[in-house]
Amino acid sequence: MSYAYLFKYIIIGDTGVGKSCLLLQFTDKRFQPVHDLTIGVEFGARMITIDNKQIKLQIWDTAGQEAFRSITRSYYRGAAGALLVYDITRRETFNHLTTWLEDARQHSNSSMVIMLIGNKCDLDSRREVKKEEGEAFAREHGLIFMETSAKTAANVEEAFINTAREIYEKIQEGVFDINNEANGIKIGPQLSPTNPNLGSGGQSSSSGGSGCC
Amino acid sequence: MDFHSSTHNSSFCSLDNALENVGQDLVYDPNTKQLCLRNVSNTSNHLGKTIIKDLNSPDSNHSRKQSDGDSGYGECFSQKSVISVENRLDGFPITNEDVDDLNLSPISSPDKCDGRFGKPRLFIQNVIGRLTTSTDPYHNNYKQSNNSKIVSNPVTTPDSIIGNNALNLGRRPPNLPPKTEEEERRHHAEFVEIVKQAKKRELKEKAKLKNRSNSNKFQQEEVISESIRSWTNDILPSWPLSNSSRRTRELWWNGIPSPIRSKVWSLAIGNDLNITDELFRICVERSNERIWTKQFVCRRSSNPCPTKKNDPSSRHRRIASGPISNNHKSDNQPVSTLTKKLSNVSITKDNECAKYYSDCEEEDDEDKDETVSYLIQLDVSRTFPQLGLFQKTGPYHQSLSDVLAAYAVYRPDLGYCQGMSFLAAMLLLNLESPTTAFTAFANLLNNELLLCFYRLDQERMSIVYSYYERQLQCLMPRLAEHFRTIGLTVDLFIVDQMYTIFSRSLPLECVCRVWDLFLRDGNEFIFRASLAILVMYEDILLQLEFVRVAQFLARLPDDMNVDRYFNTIASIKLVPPQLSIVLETKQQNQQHQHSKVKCPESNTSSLVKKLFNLH
Repeated sequence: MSYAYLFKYIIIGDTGVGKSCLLLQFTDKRFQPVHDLTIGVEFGARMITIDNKQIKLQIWDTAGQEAFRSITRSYYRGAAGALLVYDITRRETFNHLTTWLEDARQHSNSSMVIMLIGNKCDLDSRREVKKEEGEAFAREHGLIFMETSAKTAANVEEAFINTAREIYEKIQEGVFDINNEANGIKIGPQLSPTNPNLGSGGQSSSSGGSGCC
Repeated sequence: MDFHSSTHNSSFCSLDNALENVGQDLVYDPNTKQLCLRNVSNTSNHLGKTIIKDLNSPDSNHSRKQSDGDSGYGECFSQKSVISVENRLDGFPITNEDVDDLNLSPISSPDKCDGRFGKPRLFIQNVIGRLTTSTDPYHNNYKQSNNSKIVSNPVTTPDSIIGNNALNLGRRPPNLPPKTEEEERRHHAEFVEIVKQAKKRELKEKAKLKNRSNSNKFQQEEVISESIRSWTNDILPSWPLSNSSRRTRELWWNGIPSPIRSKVWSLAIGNDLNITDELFRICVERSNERIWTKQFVCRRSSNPCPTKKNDPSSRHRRIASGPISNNHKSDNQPVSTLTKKLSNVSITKDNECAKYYSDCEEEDDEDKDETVSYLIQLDVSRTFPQLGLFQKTGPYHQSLSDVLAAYAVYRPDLGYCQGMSFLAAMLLLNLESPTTAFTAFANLLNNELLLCFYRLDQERMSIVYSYYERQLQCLMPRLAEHFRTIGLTVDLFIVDQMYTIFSRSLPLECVCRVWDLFLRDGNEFIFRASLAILVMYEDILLQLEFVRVAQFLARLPDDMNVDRYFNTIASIKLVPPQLSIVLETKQQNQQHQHSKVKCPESNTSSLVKKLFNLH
């Protein structure tokens, strides 16, 4: 299936916060209570529709362990959106947000849209981070914020789609230079039928080919 | 009994006859919408049971009564029920359970009985009478079901019921005269013969199949036992000399038989680090001590409301840690420091907890230990989750945690890094004990290639990537071009392969054989095994786009042809120069540049000297 745009996303955050589960819920609409751990990076893709336009999301799900940050840093390149995830039942994952944010800002392009996600909101009885704290952090750093549950699927669709909507609006406003692939956006065959393959990106580029997901 | 005596000797009885005989016992059954015969048993056991006879059944005329004083109950069968009796041709005794299956049904409740006993019995009664001795369960069934239809059969014995019905399921239409006894007997005999022949044929075919699979199995078993004999008698006793012989290498290539694997892996990995059982025990002990004390610190510091969740058992455990720590004077984390920290925590206000935590993080590497222990606990459960062996309740949970935690104590410079749990799990699954697994694990990780990944040595990692890219370009230029087009760089899939030595991406049965040969041939084999995957699936990969290629390579098909895969590996020749030479050159250059700079981690530098490349 052809698409109008391809957005590259990257999911970041401490290990065990549920990054892979969020991705699985979004792409496969299922939840795995015991998920494999992620080593390096794993991928997912899904087509969504915004403003009657088909948009393909190419999602990079990264390893959360701090030791892997030197590897995952290279994955920011060419990402149009980032989901920064913490676990509402583990305060330390919230405390580490600042370093994640620094990393993200430093290694991505400045217009990358960042969505802050407080995951595992189904475990309200074990909550260690209040929703207000997440909101305050997001406000302070100019992020979009949502609490989600990969288990119950609450807000999962919304988190991915709202990020895409934000990116789409930025494109409309002209903030994103869509001709520069380093911004993580690729024009698909729908919008540029004569030029489906805009050539290859360099290492870790965001190009996703013209095939369907 | 009247009914039976009246029909006993007649081979044919008209409907009128029957009606005369049954007299006022004829009732209308609203369920079947048919006229039925009603009768009630006369024994106390069978009180209230109603016997119904379907007068529409032409075969009822052939009723034969076999003396059966006990079975004073009526039987209501559907055709299906009778067939279910026939199915018992296998000669197994029919039990009450079988009878229960026959859908015996009541028509009228006990209070409606007219007190007449010993009224007409049905032919099938013969069967039931013999099938059952106890009637009580029967009664229940009788009362529960409302659906009743009587089937009567022209029988003299249960066997003949079976035979006739099977031969002539629909029975003769009502307008035709029923079969004569002789005919019935003949049909029965024919049927028995048919069944006998069919069974014979079936058995013959089964035996043939069994023979064939047995001979295959036998051959395979022969090969395996021959291989085991060779390993145990010839190769293992003279290990260091024998392991490079051609015969050994050939045997090795075919995969090490699983009973021998433990021994061969341990020998192949060796123990250059001289790790002893005692060392493992101490490391585990120390890790336990450090881990749970740190967990206490962490719980307190990361909890916004520490007073609410104050766990007295944790305090108790903390106090208990005293003597253990004192026993290990070398422990760089004396109890006094900890106690001081803990008392700090207890007076810390909620909003200062986080600050304390981050202060702690900067203060020293103690927090790193906590993170390590937490990570290990988190990841052990996420290791081969499909096997269910390493999860909290699984048999290997504790041993995997021990091996990883002990390693983090043994090599604090490496600590715990994601991916290690898969290597340790593979060793635990294939080696004898946690101790041998730990020894093998520590020595395995001393491998040049694995170390460069586990230390996240970016420079060396990029050398590995370019080495791989060169191989890919030479072997499969089309695929290399495709990868460039879709923007897939090799690091995106080989990171996982290197960290876990394929244990996540390949089907599990295949992984062990890959490990066998990795331990025989060393790092070179990892590259050949990885490239062979691309060669084998080149045609598929050329059709796929970025995400699909990455997903495909991360989880290879479960049904992959293992023999074909190993033949492909055998066909792959790596392009020189060897990776070890490339890395060595790089290292020499670095050493030359920093010849005067002393390595800050003395512990690491001494261990680095011991690095070895397997074979």
